[in-house]
Amino acid sequence: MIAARGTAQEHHADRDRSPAGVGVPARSPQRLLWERFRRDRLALAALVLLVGLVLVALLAPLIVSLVGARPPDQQSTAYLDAFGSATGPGSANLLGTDELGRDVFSRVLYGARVSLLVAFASTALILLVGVSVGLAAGYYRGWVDTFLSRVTDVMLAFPVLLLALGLGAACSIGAGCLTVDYGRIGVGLILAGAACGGLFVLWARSRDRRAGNAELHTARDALANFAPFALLIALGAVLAYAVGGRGALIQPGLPVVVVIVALGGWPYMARIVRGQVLSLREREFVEAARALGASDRRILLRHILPNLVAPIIVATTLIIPASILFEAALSFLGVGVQDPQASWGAMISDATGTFDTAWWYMTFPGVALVLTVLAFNLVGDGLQDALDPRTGT
Amino acid sequence: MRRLARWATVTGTLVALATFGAACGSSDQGSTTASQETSVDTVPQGVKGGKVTVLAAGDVDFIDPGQTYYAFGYMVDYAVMRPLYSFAPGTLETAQNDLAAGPPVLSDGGRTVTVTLRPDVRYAPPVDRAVTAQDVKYAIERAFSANVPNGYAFNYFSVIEGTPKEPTDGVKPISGLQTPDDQTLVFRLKTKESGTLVAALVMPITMPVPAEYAKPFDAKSPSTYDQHVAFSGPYMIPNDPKTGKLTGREPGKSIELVRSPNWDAATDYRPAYLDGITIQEGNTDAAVSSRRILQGSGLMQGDNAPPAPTIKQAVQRYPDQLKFVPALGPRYVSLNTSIPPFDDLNVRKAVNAVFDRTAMRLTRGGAIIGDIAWGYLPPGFPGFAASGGLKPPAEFDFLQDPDGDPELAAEYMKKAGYPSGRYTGDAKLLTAAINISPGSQTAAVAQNQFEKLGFKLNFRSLSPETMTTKFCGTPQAKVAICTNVATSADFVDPEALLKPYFYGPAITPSNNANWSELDDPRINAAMDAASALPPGDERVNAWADVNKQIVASAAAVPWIWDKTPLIASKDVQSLGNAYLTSWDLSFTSLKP
Repeated sequence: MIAARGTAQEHHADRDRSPAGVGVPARSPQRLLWERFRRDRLALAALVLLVGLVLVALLAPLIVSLVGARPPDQQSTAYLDAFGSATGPGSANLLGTDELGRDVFSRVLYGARVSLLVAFASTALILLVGVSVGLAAGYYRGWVDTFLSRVTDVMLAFPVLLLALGLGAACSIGAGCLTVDYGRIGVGLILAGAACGGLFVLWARSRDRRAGNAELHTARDALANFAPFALLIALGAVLAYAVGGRGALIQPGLPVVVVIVALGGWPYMARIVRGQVLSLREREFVEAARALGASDRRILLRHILPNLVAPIIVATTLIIPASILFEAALSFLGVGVQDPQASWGAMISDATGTFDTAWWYMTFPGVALVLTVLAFNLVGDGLQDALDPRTGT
Repeated sequence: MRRLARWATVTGTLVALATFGAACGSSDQGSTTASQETSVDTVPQGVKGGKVTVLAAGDVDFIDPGQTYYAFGYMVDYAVMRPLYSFAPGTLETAQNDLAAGPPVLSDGGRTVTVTLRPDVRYAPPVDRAVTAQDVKYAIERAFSANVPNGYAFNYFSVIEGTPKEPTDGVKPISGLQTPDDQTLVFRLKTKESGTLVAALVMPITMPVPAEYAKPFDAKSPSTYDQHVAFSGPYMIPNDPKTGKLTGREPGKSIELVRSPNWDAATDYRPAYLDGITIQEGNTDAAVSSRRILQGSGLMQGDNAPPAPTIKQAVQRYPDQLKFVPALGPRYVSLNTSIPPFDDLNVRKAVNAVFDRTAMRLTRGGAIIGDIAWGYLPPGFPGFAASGGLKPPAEFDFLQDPDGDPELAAEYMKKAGYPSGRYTGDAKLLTAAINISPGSQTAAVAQNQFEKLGFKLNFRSLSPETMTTKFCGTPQAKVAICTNVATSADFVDPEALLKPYFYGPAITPSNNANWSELDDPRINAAMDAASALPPGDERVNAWADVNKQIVASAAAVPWIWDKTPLIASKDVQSLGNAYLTSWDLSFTSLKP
């Protein structure tokens, strides 16, 4: 069976051939992936755990309310003893309280929100930056590759935790970091994007008309030509409306953590993608596309990027737990998520002074952190096995 | 917290007028007692000899008496050097004659202060001679030089004639310091208000420094005398017998104290039982070091107080190994009276009313750590009883309920123009807080109290240094709330606890100690009047009245008059010294 050597391109080929074959039922790449993945019981269990975790994070207020627990930031001296020490697990507080009388159960649940939010947001940033840089460096090679690869090397060589501590400390004071008028910049980007995009579309249509390619200047082509400028407009909108009124690009609190984690993670993604692209750009299907006159953008987005899905997914499943751990480390060191927002790392940090007298306070967020990271890693391993034909049947 | 408090103290334009009577014996009833010889009846009879180890997190700031301004530095310095006067453990009412042979004598209507020194106190080798009045004169003069940065000389000693306005290049003579003979030191003052100076004679600046020995070290910038200190106390740090270079101190690692061969017990009120003391530094985990002390042998606590869970453990399992000394000031949350909405008295009263001070106290260990505060003069301090004692006077309705009174708070908010009883303004109040335990827990509870009234906080968790210097101590930073304020008096007089922190003219652009930026002309005038009063009941009562006026202004939320917990191993007996806020090494021994 030569079906599927691990790339989406060849999965497509396999699917296309099957109906004319010898009666083997057609299976989509996703189905193949799922069938392989579910054979790994451990990974499957981890996936169930992760789905449960996401549900818990999403439904945390509801669960807290159903269980009858107190909100995560509600302090109460009623659950502290005469010395101000926390009380252990019991009917009033399922997982005990912290030193401020807050319910550890609620805080662990809400901590999942923070962990997953930071993990997904920073991973999205990592994907955006890392994949873009990797694609550009691998595909264009030459000075573009040299420049981007050196920048990546510098970032990889940087002691990220120290950088994170510095940034975290700096951006957690005052209004935050990179304080300029983002409202105006955002509006400027929107206007510039709209104007440049419109002009480019008009120019492209007139060019095509002059060249006699009447079938090319359709509305669909106009939209395709406008797409890059739409990105500019979107960026402007984000700056104007999400950041503009608040003064600083990196706000104290969660945004700082997300940026720092992304800053530390994108070079790894960029390296992985660059390596893959260097190989893919020499493949026949790319040459064929190029011979048919496809633009670089089309080759990158329609031919190369789909073939990167597998390694990106695998890398992402490893980056997410690393991001969760990094957020926990930052919060542990006091430059991450700030009180009263619940974070597993901050909870563990707070508990270090009382670990011998209030075991529950460190144990439960610690267990949650370990299980989450372990689950992501197991799912990542499972996906890697499922996507890699060398481990398949 | 002495260090933090002292930073604040020194920064204000403090012109504390404390009198020796107040500092050294004025009780709340106004009975003034001069310094006296110590009764050693209260000192436990320990075994002569033996050694103990002090577990410390960090190092002392300085051994140099001209530079140290930190509780841990004081703990060591008061065992190896002798100031003119000092406080014995267990009492802040009466200062003891230490290097001085008797109390200071005031003449010329208070413009001249004369101190007579004991003739028989000798330096340890290599100086190896008797201490003279010239040594104390030089010790004070050097503290005004740029090479010997001193945190308080300009605040408390600039009343002496001839003191410079700025630190001098090199050590310059001060004309107002005269030594007619080896045992007599005369202070000629610019004004008749000698109280501050006399009260401050308990500070380490009066520990003798032999000029002929120290001058070469003081010529360097900064002075290297810190590594060559001459010892006049019962203990010394081992040194090179020729150069005086300290060999018993490894900064950041350890300090060794051994008996001074020239110390004569007959000249000192300290028993100094131990033969040697080792200070082991780097014990940064207070929970671990506290456990070692409680369960070990021959160990005692240095600069790091045991955490709340350890105090609980000590109370329950090792009660004989735990003692408390009162702190020399209250803890409070400051409200910046120059920043809306705290420029409104009713809003400030509402905040005071809503505060759950019981919850605040629990963050530091609960009732055992101290009484819930309502004012700024702690129990045992002159003016405390005259202010009303432990219970707040009825006029302060907003401080009656230690658990907070949300209904009363809502009423005050309504009076302030918030019909809902909650803050509905747009302001996001910049709040500076400490980021280390237990201060961080205190800050978290304080944050919760403000949120109960609907305030939105721009909350900043900071290191103590940053909070003090960059935020709360800088009016330009516009900090509305400082959650972790701890004040500490340099000497025992109500003025030392009130004027630096609530006097309008004391507000400075940087290193400001009046974090509430309270500038009430009526209170300022009352402070001026109280400062000018002579020692005695009238002065104490006047300051007690100032205390109540500050409380009435609701410029801050006082929440605890705390005590410092001290722990030692089961075979160590020691006494806590309230002035040092630590164990007194000279009153420590091994149990028989």
